[in-house]
Amino acid sequence: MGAVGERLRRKNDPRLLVGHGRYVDDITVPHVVHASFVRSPLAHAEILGIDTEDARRARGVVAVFAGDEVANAMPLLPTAAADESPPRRPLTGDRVRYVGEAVAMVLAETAAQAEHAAALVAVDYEPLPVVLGPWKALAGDAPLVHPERGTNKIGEIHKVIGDPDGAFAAADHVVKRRHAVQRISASPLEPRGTLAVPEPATGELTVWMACQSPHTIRTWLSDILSIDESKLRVIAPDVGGGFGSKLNLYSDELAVMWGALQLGRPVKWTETRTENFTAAVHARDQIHHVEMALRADGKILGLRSHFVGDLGAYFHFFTPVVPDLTIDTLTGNYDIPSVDIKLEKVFTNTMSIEALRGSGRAEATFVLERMIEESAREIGMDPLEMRLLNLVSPEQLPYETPFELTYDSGDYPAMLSRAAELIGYEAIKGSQRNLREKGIYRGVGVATYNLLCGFSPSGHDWNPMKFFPGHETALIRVDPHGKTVVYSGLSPHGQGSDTVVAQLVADELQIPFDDIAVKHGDTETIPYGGGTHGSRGAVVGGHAALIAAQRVVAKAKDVAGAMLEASSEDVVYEGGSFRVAGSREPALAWQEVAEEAHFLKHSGPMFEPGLEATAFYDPPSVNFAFGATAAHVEVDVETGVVSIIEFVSVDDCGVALNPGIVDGQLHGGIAQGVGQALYEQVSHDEDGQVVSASFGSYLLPSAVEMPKLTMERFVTPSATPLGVRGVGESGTLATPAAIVNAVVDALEPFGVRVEQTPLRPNVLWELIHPEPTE
Amino acid sequence: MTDITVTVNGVSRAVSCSPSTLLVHLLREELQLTGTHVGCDTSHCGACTVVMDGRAVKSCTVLAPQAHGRSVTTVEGLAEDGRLDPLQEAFADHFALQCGFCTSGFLMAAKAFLDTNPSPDEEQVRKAISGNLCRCTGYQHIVDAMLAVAEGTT
Ligand code: FES
Ligand code: FES
Repeated sequence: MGAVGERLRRKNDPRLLVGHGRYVDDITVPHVVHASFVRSPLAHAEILGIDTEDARRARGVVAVFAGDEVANAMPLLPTAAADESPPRRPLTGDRVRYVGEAVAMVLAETAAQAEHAAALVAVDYEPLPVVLGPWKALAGDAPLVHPERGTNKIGEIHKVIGDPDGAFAAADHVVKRRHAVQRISASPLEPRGTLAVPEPATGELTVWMACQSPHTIRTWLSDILSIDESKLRVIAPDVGGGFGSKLNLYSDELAVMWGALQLGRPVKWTETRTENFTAAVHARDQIHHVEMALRADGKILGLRSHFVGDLGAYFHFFTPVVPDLTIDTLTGNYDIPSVDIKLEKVFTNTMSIEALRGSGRAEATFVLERMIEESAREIGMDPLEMRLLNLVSPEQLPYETPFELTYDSGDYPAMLSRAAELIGYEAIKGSQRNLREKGIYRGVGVATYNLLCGFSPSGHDWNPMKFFPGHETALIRVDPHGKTVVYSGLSPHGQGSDTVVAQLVADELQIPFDDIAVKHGDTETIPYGGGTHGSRGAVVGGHAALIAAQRVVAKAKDVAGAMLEASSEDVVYEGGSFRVAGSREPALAWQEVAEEAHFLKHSGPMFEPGLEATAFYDPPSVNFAFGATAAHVEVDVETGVVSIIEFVSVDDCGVALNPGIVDGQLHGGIAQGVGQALYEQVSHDEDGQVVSASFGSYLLPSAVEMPKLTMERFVTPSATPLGVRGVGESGTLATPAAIVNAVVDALEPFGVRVEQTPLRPNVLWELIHPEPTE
Repeated sequence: MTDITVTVNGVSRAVSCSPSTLLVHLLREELQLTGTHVGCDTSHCGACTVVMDGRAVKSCTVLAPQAHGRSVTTVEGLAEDGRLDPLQEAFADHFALQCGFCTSGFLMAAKAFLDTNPSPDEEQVRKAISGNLCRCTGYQHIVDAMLAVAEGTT
């Protein structure tokens, strides 16, 4: 029986379940000092002076770093599109541009002492006018986030494809709406953390870091700290979730490393949750003004969107390309021939926008699926029917989108129909009138998605970083006993990629799953890889492991051939044993060949000793995973509270290497989508304060808010050798729109117009009970 | 400094700590039981949940001196004689953990709940863990695992 496709237990669970996980904060080293940061309480201000005297004299304090001179002596941080990007340093010395920007770093013998002393640093600020909100940032008289640039506008992209003007002129209906996708936070349960351990005697630096891509970090560190990569070691130990937010090198993290080098002592820093809400990247934050051109029968002729992306104050790794991805995925699964999309990107006095599970694509899916819903309602058509009319049909595949993405295979209409069937679409619609008479408002909503994933073929525009590989790697090393270690360049932090890699390698090597260990997240042992992000684990990392495994088998056949005195082409490997083709004798077991490969007792020097292989895999193209979701909700019109009665997700991720892991990935993405639809928002007050800096005000769904999830899978293998598609981000894409569509359906009698999320009770209540107009 | 005695995972521990030390820091730093995690600084996340005298408590909201004379079980004390608790087995079988950071808190909350409510329905299970946040799993598999333990099917 093969391992692939089985619900095998995850490799890491035995440790994690007994509390033996090792997250950065669990690691201690001798002689360590602890860091605490002084962060800006203002969104925009000039720093007139910083008084660190009291802090320096406080108990246990080892050093305080602050001020213009110190900041300017610090290295620059890596950013996307370096020539357009304003410089970003570990500490800011002259000006703060968002609440939470690091102004000073205090190092002390204990974390408590560092925190105490940080509170004694007095910073004299001259407040400056604050710019918030992307449209306001574009206004001519707006305060400037980076005055030397002369504008807050970062750039503009305008793509006109097909004949949008013709489509709108020929349309029977044009529907116009505004759709805002609010700013959200990744909020991994483990905040960030860094432990930097220098070795002054040799100039080496070892960094434990809650990160998603240790090799990328190592290469950047080498560049900016002028340390050879051979002297740098970056380790991602157990990492408690990231969702994109731990893909960066942050200012505070670099300050910790820099401080360790200055002191010649280890420095450790663990972010607090409160800090995480201001000092870790945010995501989404787009406002679209959309027009849809429709024929009388509901066929979509064209789509226009003029949208603006609020990118915050600085660029991190992917900041400026996140909204670009929105453009390229704005037609989703639908056959929309003509588009006119204009994007403007702006700086504001807020934390940067970055990649977050589904980034760019989730915004596109939301806007498109809300727009179709609104269009159907406006022209009096059933929204499900309108979708079925416009979805790319299986006959149209392979289908090239207006943005030159090629969808390979799948059956989008069948998946949507199935989701509608599972949720009981017709029955819910049929019972609405009776229920409404009793004051019960229920609704059903659907949405589809097509996840562009498997990032990414090298050299693509979506990768704006000088050092950020598109490829993935695996080194497979078989020991003389035949047991095997896979060193994977992926850096899973919850995804379970280590387990699925072991599964596919087990099948390829025809050895037991339990005989395979998977190592990752340590640049000292792992070949150069890209890490975990962008739904690439199976799609890119899996194929690297597959190719390495095939090379190992080829080598094993050479060894077996030498032992059997046959040419390796005549050796067949089947059922875990090697034999000469045509002979019926079972000949050599895997373990015998592994032993011989190392000791050459029987065959003499007919091959190079050892049994291992490395593969670097650059995907030939991106990958697509797709599906349909449906939500059944009830809205309490007296309180505005939405309850999700049932949620259905029908997903196609091609071959599911481990269905338990796949389901878990989908569930987690759906929960984040529920949060986006109903609860989560990074909120600023008019001064730019983040007023949602705790889990008491930034609301993640709990088990009570989450409905029971009904999952069903379609399996359309991709054209890759493993037949896999991405899955990590899938759940985040269609979920918010399905829920909002269901809420709009439930509230049809009130004619509410939903233009933004989250649909918290107070927001919804006001939509249901508008102020009476005179 | 205050001298306190706490029974942790069945072993009596005498420690001296400052009166303002949080139980979670006593566990993690003094006793080096790092399986109990800190996910927030406002008592919202539940990553620090331990069982104290049979009740699930957030160890970041308990001062170490308040644990004096009491019995605390952490995730490290859940398995007995190297045999995993049925909840730990069920979590593995049902894929109830991903990054694992929230997991000890869920296990301890689930343990305290199921010890006093051996046959709950799904709604009760969801309510019992509503003080614990998980960003990875969407809770479905955690609920499945807890129900499997309650039904004795794990
Ligand atoms: S650490 Fe979050 S509740 Fe205790
Ligand atoms: S498993 Fe990652 S937060 Fe729960």
